[in-house]
Amino acid sequence: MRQLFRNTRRKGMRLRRNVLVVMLCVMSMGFVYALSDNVAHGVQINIIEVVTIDLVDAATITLTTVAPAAAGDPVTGTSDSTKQLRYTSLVGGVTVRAVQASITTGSVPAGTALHLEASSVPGGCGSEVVGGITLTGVAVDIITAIGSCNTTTADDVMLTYTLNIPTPALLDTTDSQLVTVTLTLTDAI
Amino acid sequence: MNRRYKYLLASSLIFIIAVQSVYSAPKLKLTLSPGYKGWTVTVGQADLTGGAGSDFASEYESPINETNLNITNPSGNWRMDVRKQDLNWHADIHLYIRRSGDGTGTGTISGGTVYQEVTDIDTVFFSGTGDRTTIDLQFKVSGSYASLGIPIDTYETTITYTVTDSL
Repeated sequence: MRQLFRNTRRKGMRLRRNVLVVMLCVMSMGFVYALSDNVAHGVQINIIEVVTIDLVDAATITLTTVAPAAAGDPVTGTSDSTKQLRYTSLVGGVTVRAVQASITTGSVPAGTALHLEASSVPGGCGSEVVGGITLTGVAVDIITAIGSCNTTTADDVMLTYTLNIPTPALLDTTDSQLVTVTLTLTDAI
Repeated sequence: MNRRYKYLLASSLIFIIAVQSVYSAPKLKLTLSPGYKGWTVTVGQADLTGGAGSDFASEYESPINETNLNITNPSGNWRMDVRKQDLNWHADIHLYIRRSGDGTGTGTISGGTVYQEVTDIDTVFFSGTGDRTTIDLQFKVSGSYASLGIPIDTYETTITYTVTDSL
């Protein structure tokens, strides 16, 4: 009987303790609930595609043949490195671009060929085609692997034009031609 | 009625009163300016600083009162924290925030007036006491995306403000 009484008392004490714990939890929840609050909003940055290229100076350059210093030596042509190119490219994903060049109006004089080579491409803004290209009416890469970058307006790409004489027998000293070279920043195929 | 039942009845009444008092007391509240959707920056070719070869500006800034915060019913001292959670972000884009106004109210406010970077962890922004409303906020984001080689995309993050009653 005494044991039964003790058990009943213990159960009563446990019940009171459990009720007290629950009450404290509820009051604590309310206390915590009132301690902080938050709000949120978004920030969005949209970066849109950019593809722009320009020459620092688009004035006409003149290339000529050069008489050899000694009889029997080949005729050569002059070079010009005054043209500077700049571009800004922003692409997405795995897209890369290239600068291509071609003759879009006129023809070079008979017996000659126009050579173009790019150099001083800023790091991270493409790779120049080693050895350059011979310009024709078909656009060909002179700089490749251009991703998101800009050459800046201080470190321009240097363009060197050279008049080569592959077939001197066709040279006509009275011949003078004006050609237009077009440079295009385009998505690489 | 025996003692046990009296105890249960008394406990229940106290319980109900406690719950009632907790949920009907004025609660700390933080709100943004009504209807504010967020800050958006869009840059393209027209935004280059000098045409071909140039880059975007080194940073872009929101209007000085882009949005505002309102704090009501604090128990006394409070602290404002700020953090961001990225949905689609780039590691080379940095977001900054500052408090561009003191707001109004009977309370006080201090700190947060100099731009600080918003990071992925809660950082103290500013603090004060009492009610404070229309606390203006201004944002800034880093630029120069071309020279950093950042791809075109829509970059998004969520800024969360948390006000806490100081214990």
